[in-house]
Amino acid sequence: MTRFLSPLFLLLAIAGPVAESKVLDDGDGVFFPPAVADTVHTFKSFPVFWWNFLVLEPNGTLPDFARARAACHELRGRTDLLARVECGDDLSGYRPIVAAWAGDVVLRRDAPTRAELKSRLDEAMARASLPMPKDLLETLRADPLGEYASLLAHAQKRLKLALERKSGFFVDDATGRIVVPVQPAFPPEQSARLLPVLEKLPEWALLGPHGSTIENRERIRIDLERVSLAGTIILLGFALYLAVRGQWRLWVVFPPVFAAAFLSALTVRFFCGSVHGLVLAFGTGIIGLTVDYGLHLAYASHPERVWRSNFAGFATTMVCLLVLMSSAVPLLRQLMLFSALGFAYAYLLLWVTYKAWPKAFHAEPLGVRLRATRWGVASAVALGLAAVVGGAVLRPAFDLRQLDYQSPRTARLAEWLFRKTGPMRPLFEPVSGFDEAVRGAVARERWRESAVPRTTLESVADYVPETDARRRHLDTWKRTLCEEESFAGSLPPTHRKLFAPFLEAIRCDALDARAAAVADAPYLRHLRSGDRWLALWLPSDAADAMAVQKAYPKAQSLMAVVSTFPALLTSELRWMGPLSVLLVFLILAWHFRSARLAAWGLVPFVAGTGAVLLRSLLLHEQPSFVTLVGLVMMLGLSVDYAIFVLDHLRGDSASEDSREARGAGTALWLSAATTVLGFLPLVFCEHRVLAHLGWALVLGTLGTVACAGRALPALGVGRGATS
Amino acid sequence: MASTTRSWLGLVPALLVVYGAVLGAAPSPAVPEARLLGPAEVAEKLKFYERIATLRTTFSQTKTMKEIGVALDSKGHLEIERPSKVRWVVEQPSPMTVVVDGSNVKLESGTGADKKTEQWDMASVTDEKLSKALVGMLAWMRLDVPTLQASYAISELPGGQLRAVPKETAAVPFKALVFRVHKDGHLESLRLEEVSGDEIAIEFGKPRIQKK
Repeated sequence: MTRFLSPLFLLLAIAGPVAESKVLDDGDGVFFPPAVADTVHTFKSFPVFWWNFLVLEPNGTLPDFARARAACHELRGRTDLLARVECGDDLSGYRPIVAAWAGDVVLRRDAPTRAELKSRLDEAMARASLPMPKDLLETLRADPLGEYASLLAHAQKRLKLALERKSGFFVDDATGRIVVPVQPAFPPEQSARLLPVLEKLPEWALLGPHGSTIENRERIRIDLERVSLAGTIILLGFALYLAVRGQWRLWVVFPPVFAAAFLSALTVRFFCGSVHGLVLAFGTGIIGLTVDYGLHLAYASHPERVWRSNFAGFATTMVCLLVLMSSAVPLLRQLMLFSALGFAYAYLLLWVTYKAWPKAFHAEPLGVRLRATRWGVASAVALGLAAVVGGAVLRPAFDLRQLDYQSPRTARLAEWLFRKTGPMRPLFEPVSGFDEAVRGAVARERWRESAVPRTTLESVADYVPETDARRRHLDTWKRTLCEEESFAGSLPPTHRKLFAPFLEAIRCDALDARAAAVADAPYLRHLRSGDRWLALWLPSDAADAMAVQKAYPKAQSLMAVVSTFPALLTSELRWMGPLSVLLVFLILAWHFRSARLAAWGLVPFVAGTGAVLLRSLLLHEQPSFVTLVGLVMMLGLSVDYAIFVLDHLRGDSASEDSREARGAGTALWLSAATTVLGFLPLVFCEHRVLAHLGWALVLGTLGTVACAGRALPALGVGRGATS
Repeated sequence: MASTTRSWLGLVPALLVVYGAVLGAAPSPAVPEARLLGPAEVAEKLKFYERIATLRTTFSQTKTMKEIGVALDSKGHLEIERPSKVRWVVEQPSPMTVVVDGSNVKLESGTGADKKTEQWDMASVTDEKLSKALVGMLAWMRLDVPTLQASYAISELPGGQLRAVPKETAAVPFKALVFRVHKDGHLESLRLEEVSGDEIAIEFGKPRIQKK
C-alpha cells in the first residue's frame, strides 16, 4: 500500500471530483452486514448515547477548579456544538426543559381545584420571597408547582456516576480528577466538528463515542501521513536506484499500477456510490503486486515465457480475491472488488505497455541467485512448524475493539471512569411511532415491576402517560382553568406577573396545542430519533438481562450486535480459507502439470504464515482481522514467488551464475525488497489496524521469500520437470 | 448700539457652553455623605444584640423584582437562638419555615397533605450563588456582629441609616445593605440590594429577647 499511496492521492487530487470528501466513505457501517449496520446506526442515532466525558487531571493532587471553570465557560459558549454541558451552577440551559416539563403537568395528572392551585402558587410565592439567584427565580416562575423534582429523579435514575459534586463539578476525591459530562448536538460520525473546541482544551481528555471517533481518525490520519511520506521516499529511492543503475526504463512498471488504482476507484464509486478509506489504503497495496510481474519480465532472459508464469500468478491471486468477495461483510466485499478490478486493470495495462514498448522491459540482473542453503531449508522447516503450532494454539481475535485505538492517557482514564460509572450494559429497543412507543412502554414498565424490579427502564412512559390518560388529565385542567372566568384572570396582579411564564404555558387556548405537540417536548429528545423511540433497559445483572431479552426479543445490547462481526467472519473464513487454498492448488497443478509441484508451490505461503504466527506466539498476541487480510495479500504474492522460482528451476537454466538464473534471483529478491520496504513503515504506526497489516506483510514476505529463494531450490526440480 | 447687541448675542453660545460645563462638573445631588464607622462604633450601634440568648420579632417584607415589575409582600416572624439557630417563619402569603441550625437547613412549606419538607447540609450545596445568598442573609438574621464587621464596610448615612457594603463583592450576593437601628437599639429595618437588581426591604417589630 505505502509504495503507491501518495501517488494515488496525487492522481485523485488531479482527478478532482474523485477527491471530494463525499466520495470517500470513512464510516464504520462497512464493517457490518446491512441488517447489523442498520442496528448499529439506530443505536447511535439516539441522543441519549451521545454523552461523552471530559476528564481533567489534577494540578498536583488537588482538583484544578480554576482551569475547570475556564473550560466550563468555553464549553457553555459553544451551544452550536454542545447540547448539554454539565458543569458550574448555571441552570439557564435547563430552563426550556424545565419550563416544558412544568407546562406539561396538564397531561400528566389531574388538575387540583382552583383553591388548591392558588395555594400552591402562594407557596411558591413564599419561596420567591427568599433571596435567590436570578436563574433560580426564573425557574421558580416557570415551575411554581415544583415539577422539576420528578424530572431530576428520572435523570438520576439513568446516570450513575460515583463522584462527588463540588463547586459545580463532578470530582473524584481520591485522584483529584474533574469530570464534565458533555453531550454534542450531533452523532459520532460528525465528531470532527468538535476539534476546534478540543484544541482549546488540550489538557482535557474526551472519553466516549465522539472522543473515540476523533482519536481513531486522527491517529489513522497521522499514521497514514507518515506512512505516505515514507512510502513516497522509498518509491522515489527505488526509482533513483533504477536510474543510477541505468535501468530507468523500468519506471514503466509503475504507471499501470497508478492508473489501475485510479480506474478501480472510479469503477467502485460508480457501482457503490463511494469508496471507503480503508479500501483505498489496503486495496492499492494488492494492486501494487503487479509490479512484481513487471520486474519478472524485465530481468528474464525470455520474457515471452515469463508471461505464462505471470498469468499463473495473476490467476492464483485473482481466485483468492474472488472467493473473499463473496463475504457478507461489506468492507471485505468492497476491498476485494477494488483489488480484483485494480489487479485486472494493472495486469492488462502492463501487458499493453509491454506490447507497446518491449525494450523497456529489459534490465541487467544483479548478482543475486536462487540457491538452496542449509539455513534456508532449516528456516523453512521451522517456519512451517510455527505455522502448524500457531494454527493449532492461537485463536484469532476478530473483536472489533482490537481495531479501536486508545492513547495511553485515554486507556488509563477510560479504565478509571468505567469503574466509576459501573459496568453499564444497556439493552435498547427502538419502537416506531410515538403512541405505540408510549403504549408499549407502559406495558413494559408493568412487566418490569413484576419480573425484574431491580432493573431500570427508561422510556417515554416515564415522562408521558398514554393517550387516553393524557386526554382525561387535560379535560380536568380545562375545567379548572377555563370555565367561567379564567383562572389566570382570577389571580391577583402579583401572582399573574410573577408566574407569567407558567400561566402562559397553561393558557386555555394553548392546552390542545400543547397536547398535540407533546412528542416534540425537549425533555423527550434524548429518547427520540426521527419517528423512533427508545426503551432503554439497564439490567442489574446478567440474569435480568436474559429475562428482558426473553420477554422482549428486540431488546439488544450494542456489544451483542457488534460481536456478530467476529462470529460472521469466523464462519466465513472457515470455508473461504480452504476453498482459496484448494483453487490455488488446482491452478498451480494446471500450470505445472504436476500435483507435487503444485503442493510445493504452497510451501512459501506456509512459511510466510509461520513467520507471522511466530511473532504472535512469542508476544502472546492474538492475530486480528487485519492480520488475516494481510495473510490474504501474502497468499497472492507468496504463490507468485513460488511460481517464479519453480518455473525457473524447471526451465533452461544452465548454471546458478547464468544470466537466466541471476535474472530469476534478481526479480525475486527485488520484488521482495520493494514489498518489505514499502510496507515496513506500517510497522511503526501507532494504530493497531495499520501496525498489524504491516507486520503481516513484512514478516510474511520475509518468510515467503526466504523459503522460495533459499529452500525451494533444494527440491532438485530438473529441466522440464512435471511430476 | 448695533455693534454692542451683536457682540452680546455672540456671547450667548459661549455662555451656554460654559454654563453647561459648570452644570456638568457639579456633583450629583441626593447622595448623602457616608461616614465610615470603625469596629468600636459598629459594636456600639449594635450593642443591643451583644448578650442576647434568644430573640423573637415580627417582620413584614417587600421583595421588589424590578425586571418583572413585581413587589412581593410577605409577613412572618424571626426567631434566633444563639449561637447558631435561626427560624425564619413566613406566615403570608403561604406558610413557610426556614430553619438553620449550624450548617443544616430545613425548609418546610405548604400545609396539610401538600406540606413539603426539604433538608440539606449547607456544605453540600453545590450552587455557590445560592449558598452565598443563604449564608449572607443568615449572618444578618443572626446579627452576628463580628462576622458582619469582618465582611462589610459599614458607614453611617445622614438621617441615621447605616450602609454596609461587602468588602469582597464575590463573597456575598448583595451589592449593599442599608439598615436602621431603632432608638431602643434593635434593628428596625433592613434593605438588601441584590446583585440581580432585586431589593428586599424588611421592617422588624419590637423584639422579645432573653439575655445570656
